[in-house]
Amino acid sequence: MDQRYVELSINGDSYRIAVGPNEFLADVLRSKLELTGTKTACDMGVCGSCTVLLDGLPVSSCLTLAVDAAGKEITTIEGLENTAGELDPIQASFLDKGAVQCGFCTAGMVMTAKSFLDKNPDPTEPEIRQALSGNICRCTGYAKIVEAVADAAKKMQP
Amino acid sequence: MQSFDYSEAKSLEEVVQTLASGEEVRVLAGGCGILLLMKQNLYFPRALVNIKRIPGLKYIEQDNATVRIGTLATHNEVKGALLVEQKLPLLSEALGYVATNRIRNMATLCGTLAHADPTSDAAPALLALEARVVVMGSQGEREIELAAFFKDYFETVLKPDEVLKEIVVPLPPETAKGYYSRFEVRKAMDKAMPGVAVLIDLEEDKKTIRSARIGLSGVGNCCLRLEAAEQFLAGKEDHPDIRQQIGDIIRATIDPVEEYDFTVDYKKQIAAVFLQRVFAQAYSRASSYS
Repeated sequence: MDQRYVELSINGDSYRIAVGPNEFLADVLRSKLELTGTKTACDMGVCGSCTVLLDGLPVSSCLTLAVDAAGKEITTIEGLENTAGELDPIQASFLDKGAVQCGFCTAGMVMTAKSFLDKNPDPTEPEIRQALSGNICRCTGYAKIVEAVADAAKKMQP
Repeated sequence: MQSFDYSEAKSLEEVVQTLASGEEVRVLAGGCGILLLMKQNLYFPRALVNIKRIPGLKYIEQDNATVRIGTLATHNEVKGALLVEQKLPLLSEALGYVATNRIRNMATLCGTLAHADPTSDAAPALLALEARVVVMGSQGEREIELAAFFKDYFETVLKPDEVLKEIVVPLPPETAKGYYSRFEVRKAMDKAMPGVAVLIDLEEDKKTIRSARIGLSGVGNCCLRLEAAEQFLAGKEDHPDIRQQIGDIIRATIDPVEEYDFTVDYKKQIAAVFLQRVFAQAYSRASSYS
């Protein structure tokens, strides 16, 4: 299938790569750009483990064609830590609160939490649970993840 | 994934030309329906024409007594639009149930109608609001009542060379109030089985029903309007007998299929229960409006 060059802007860096129109962003991130923080699990837009931000909005990168992501600002889990290499407060809270077991859902959880807290910096627990409702975790039972997001929100209070 | 011919259109006219150029060319917008079908090897179109780069199709605007929703407006854009929240709260409410926040950021409202999933959350609200769709084809534009747009299981009356241009929602009277609810077993990524939207307008006495509109999903091969119950309710007041009778009407009208653990009888029963509940909520909203 014909390849075409697209310009992808990921975590502030620009990448010019050849992709086929049938390639999904999640696969391009992982296989062509070695940004393997983004995971694919269900590969059907259901589980949320491939969540990335497109222009700040969470989307399923396993259902987003790479050619469609061109011209948009893509943020992956690799883009959260600052230039000094310090973790984003949400990542730090996931570590502190032990909100990780197998880790497969974690990047998606963190990205979902990131876009959620950007909009709602002081959420209630039901709001956090609602915001995470589209991300599936088969290990933790969610309690620690909800705690971690609440903790991150507290840390980020001005 | 399977390969296909791919092009990006610059205008809807160009889309129509591409669609008319051969068989099995499909429109790609949000992609949440068609790409998923292709990924699962359930569907093999020869070509996709991507319409997402066409400028100016994300509008959500009032035009006299209607709201027009452009073909590229996503679920979240429609749901969060001030105009929709204020003038069409029933639609906003229903869109909150759709899939997940991620999918609502990707999927377009027009796309979900063209996809014609019989368990849609958006369709019942739009049916109750008596929405129409404007489609564009080689023969020009035509406007279709949404109730007549859905043809069968994942099928619409769209011709191969036609593309959805916009949704037109007539503004309901200010006194009309609606409610949407659905049977759900989880909080995200659930299917509406059934999804029920009811819009009620009451006479000045705040008791007598001037008009009732009922949109349903998850009750058969198509999303549909329950006109028999709408006509039955006109001129009546809320009463346990009335609720009983609309339950009987929906049980007699719908034609669900057995799937998962849900038998036909169970689905009819749950549809009746949800219609009764949603009707009661819509009625109480309408009667308490001042």
